[in-house]
Amino acid sequence: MRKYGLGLFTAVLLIALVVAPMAQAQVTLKFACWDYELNQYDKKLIEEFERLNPDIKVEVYDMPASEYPDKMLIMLAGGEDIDVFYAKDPTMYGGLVLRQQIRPLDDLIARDNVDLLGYGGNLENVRVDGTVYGLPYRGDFWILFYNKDLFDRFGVPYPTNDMTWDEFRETAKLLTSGEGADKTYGTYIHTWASTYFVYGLQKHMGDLVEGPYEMLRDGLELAYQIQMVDKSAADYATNRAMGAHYRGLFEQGNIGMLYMGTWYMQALLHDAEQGLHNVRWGIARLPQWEGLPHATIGNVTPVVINSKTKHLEEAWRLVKFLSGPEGASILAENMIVPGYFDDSVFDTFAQVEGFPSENMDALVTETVYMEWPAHPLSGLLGRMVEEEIVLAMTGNKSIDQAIADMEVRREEIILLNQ
Amino acid sequence: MKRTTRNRLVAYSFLLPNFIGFLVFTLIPVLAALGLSFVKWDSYSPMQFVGLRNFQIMLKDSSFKIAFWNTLYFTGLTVPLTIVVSLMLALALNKGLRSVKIFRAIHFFPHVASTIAVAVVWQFLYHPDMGPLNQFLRMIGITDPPRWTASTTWAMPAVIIMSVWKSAGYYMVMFLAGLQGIPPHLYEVATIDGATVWQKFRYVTLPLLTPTLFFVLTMNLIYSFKVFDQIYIMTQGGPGRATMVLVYYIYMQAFINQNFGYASAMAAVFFLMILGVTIFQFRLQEKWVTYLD
Repeated sequence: MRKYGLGLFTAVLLIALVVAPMAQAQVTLKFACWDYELNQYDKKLIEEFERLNPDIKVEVYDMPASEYPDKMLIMLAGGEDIDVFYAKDPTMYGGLVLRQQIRPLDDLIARDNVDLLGYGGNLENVRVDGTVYGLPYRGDFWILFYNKDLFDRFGVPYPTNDMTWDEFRETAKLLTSGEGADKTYGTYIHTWASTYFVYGLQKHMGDLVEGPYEMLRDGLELAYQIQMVDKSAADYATNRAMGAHYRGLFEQGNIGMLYMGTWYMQALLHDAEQGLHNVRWGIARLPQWEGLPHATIGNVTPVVINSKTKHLEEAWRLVKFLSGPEGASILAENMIVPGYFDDSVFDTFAQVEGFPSENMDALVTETVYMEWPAHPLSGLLGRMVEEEIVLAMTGNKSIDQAIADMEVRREEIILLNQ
Repeated sequence: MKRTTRNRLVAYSFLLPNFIGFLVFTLIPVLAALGLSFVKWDSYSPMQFVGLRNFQIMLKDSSFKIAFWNTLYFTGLTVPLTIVVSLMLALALNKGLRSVKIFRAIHFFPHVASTIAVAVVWQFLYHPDMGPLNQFLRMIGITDPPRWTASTTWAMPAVIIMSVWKSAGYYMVMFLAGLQGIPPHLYEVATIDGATVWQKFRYVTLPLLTPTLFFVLTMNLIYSFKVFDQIYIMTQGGPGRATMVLVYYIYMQAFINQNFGYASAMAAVFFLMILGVTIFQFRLQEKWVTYLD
């Protein structure tokens, strides 16, 4: 016993000597994101970061995706000391910049010589008045998903990368048939406002803060015709009242085409892995307007640092990891389009099992417009545009009237928020 | 120390714990909100004093006007409907039978259930195509039933109907208590005098029920002005702004748009509105409320 005693004592002392300073030096960072447990890829990122940085412990605040922006704003307003978090959309990002809740990163980028080339056009979308306040962690954009089984069943050729919206509408009609449980729909138009205004932004007429709302007319008309006249998609009111979700609907296998963001690729693969669906899916570029150059709509997710952080150096290391090449490769393995995008991302995608690698071209983009610019009024205008779109899509107002009212209400919002 | 002073101090010391609670959790926040209504503040950057600007904005803000009228619309219909329905329920169930007690419990049940849960269920009931309500209406021959929460015309009535259903049971219990407080000998006297059922209701029940009626009216008015949960779940103020009510708009401005100053200014106006209505009611009370000595 005595013999062991001395050895044990020495061992404990040694461990204490080694561990104690480490424990002391370990910094705890508070990090907020959405659906951490549900989606798993953020978890993989954080675990890898902790492995590479043993001196930093990351405490995760996990929130449901739909509540994330509101909850985050309330937490920040309440003085919660979150160090690093994602700005889920440009509206949230713009607000954070406006209120100086996040720290400009230009000095740190210059000091550490961060390679910005990999961000491509995404960088422009995190720059506000010339200053970068966050680095792009994800760089999603809208594409067209389709159900190959359904196209095969109706003998309709698969959508191509140069499909126009008129062709989209005609194809949707061909895929619509049946009643009750056998009912198939050509497409599904999700209940977000963005699903109804992506077509407008493709008109190259500017953004929804400063551009004319006239740009929305053809798109709203298209959505209205598809839902109310062709009936090749369920209408807005039905979807809204049922709390419909594109994920479940497309995976049931009776929706032919779904235009949605690239974020859905990961969910499709994940759900197939879980045995939730066996849809054979393909992707194509977002359909375009006849005679106009192609454009898609993007949504960059920046990772940002709370301007009140007490652990700036550690927070900055986490930001660099999440938005840099290391983070990008983990994201790509999980079928997420990273903000840092190079050829290795395509290579990684091609190796992911279940990914339709023959459709890889669908992910090549030329022009990517943002859903909303990082502008102080994006939030208020976004709500207003959504209200008017809903009125037009539920038949409470004509499309012309809704567009006219949007213009009037924009003037009012600008006037009241000078 | 004089005896009276000491007595007084003892009394105050008993009041103190409660008063501190009131001070910290009610009075100070209310005064702070009043103060906030004169600033521009997003909860993060420094406050900026703007004087009466928030109140001027209110006058020009079409959403505020819509929310104001919608609140009056909601209250104006909900309050009388709730009172009529709950009074009728109380009159029908004012008997000691066991079966009646079961019905009372059934009618009280909606009040016990959480508003959020109930609103979610009603959302399905109101579904324009697949909802049970419209399926029923089609069955009885109404080919084009209202599109309820999807229609700007019917969204508010939909919320009102649900609210009446939710609270009628609660006020029914109040009315039952009121009815049971009416001395039975008055009815005996009325019967001997040959009064009809209607006359008994009109000249005995109704006057003696006025204190309860007054209480129910006041509470119901305040609750209706404050409507939020149903709107938040069922319509989010839509379609468009058809069900945008004041409290929802205040919530939106404060927590979604981070305009705490403007939201506080609206809250102040809202407070004055409720205060005014309540004072008016108490004044009017002397004219129509009968107390039995």
